[in-house]
Amino acid sequence: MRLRNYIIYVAVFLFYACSPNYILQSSHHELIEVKTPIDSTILAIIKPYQESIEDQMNEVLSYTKNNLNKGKPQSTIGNFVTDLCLNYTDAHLCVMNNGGLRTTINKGNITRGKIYELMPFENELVVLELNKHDYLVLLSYIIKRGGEPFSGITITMDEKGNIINNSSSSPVDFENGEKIKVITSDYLANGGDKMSFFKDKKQKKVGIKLRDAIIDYCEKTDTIDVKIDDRIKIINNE
Amino acid sequence: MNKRRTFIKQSSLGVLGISLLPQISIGRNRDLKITILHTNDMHSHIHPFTSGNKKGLGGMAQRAGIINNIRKNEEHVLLLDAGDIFQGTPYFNFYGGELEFKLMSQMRYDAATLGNHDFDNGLEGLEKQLPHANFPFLIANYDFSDTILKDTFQAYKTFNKGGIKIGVFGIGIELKDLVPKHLYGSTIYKEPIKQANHYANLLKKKEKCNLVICLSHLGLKYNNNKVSDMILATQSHDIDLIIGGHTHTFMKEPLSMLNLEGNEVLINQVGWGGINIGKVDFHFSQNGSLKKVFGRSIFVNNRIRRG
Repeated sequence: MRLRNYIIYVAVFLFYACSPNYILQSSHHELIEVKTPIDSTILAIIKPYQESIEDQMNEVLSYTKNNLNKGKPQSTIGNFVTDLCLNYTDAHLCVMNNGGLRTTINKGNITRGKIYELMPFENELVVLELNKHDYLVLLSYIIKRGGEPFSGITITMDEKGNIINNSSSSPVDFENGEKIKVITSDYLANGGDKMSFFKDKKQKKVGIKLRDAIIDYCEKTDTIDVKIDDRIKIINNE
Repeated sequence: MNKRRTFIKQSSLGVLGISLLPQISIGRNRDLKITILHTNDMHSHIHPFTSGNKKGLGGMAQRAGIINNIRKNEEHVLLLDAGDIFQGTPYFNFYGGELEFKLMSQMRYDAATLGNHDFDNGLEGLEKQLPHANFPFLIANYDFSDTILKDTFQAYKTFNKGGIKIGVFGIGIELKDLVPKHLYGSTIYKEPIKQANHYANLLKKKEKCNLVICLSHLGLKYNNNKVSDMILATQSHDIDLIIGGHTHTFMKEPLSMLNLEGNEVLINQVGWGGINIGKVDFHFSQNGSLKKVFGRSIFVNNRIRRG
């Protein structure tokens, strides 16, 4: 009975898998070696390139006490990057995107190569200013996406995603025409990852690439201790 | 339930019965086999992955080894790539893609198309590396007329393998909102389906190709109506195989779809990072007509097996 079932399944599979135009004539088997034969010519071409960057890439820049992981609504890797960028200027707020942080970092030594993996792109840091309206659009973007990396403000929201409160660590007087200064990457500032609220704003270059900012911070910091904190709070309003 | 089973059994027996006939009348040994090997989204992964769940997988020297073995056994091989060769490891940051192109040339790639990340160092960055590639980049829907890359790329190329003519052309994804404007400059993106059908028709009818392959960086499919390989397949004519990329989709075997004329189009894509090589064998009879297709994915695996 079990064999019969099996035959039926195979028959059904063949029936649906066969295209109407090509008629199956024979099956095809191939034995693939378990041990991959490595091409030595290719290795020889790679060698000089590898040797000249290997020492640099293996250089230990810092040490992290915790795993720097991805996650929502906030993450240790997101907090790590946005906190250090915020300190580069007098901006009120730093915003990055989860998609742009390309790897996680395990507890332990951080090498230069790992930072290249985290930030392979040549994105530069820029500062731009948002009025109250655009700022609120930015907040709702972060909420709608379930959280994107940010630093410099705290957001309190209810379970339905309504913002109850938000505050900047250095207050912005929107009512008197003051704008909030945001530091981000030029990729996002130009509207990347659908951050349309940044588009067409005057950008001031910080003068450093995002990757170099991270490397610079790691070189200056002996031990990195980033934690999940209460920058984004979801309260249960019964 | 029993009735249904009987029906299935009879139907499948019918199919098996028919499928035996051509084998008797034509004979297998006269077939000509064209082997298409393909990669996509290698993203500067020169070495096997060193951490995570992909540890030990991929690697250019390992890939070359597998390709060498296949070339020993197969007479008619075409090796193709569907774009995003650049970006992802320090090799790209330091050498700008020079090593990737050199290794692909050494492996004897026949053609590639352009992915969005191949613009990551701008048009200048791409132009600078082109001398290191001895294979053409094919792109039918980007217009570089107003850029420094004017007259650099062809839309298509034809190959002759044992009397079988194969036409290959390339299709790229919309660059707006995906690549910073200053990197792609005045490159004009043209609607891909119209361009694809134009060149597929030219290759099949005018160039009289037996096989037409589209190298596409559109992506397999999306949740919205954004143009993708699956949309292209259903709205196309004259394309036999779409080799895809961009969405980093690991496909174990090609997906079969029907085009505007009700003919079969295969779509295949093999993930990213050089973890897999796609292999699609096309069997032709002596008069050049396509008889059957067999496709699968080869794992580039250098993992040390324990126990």
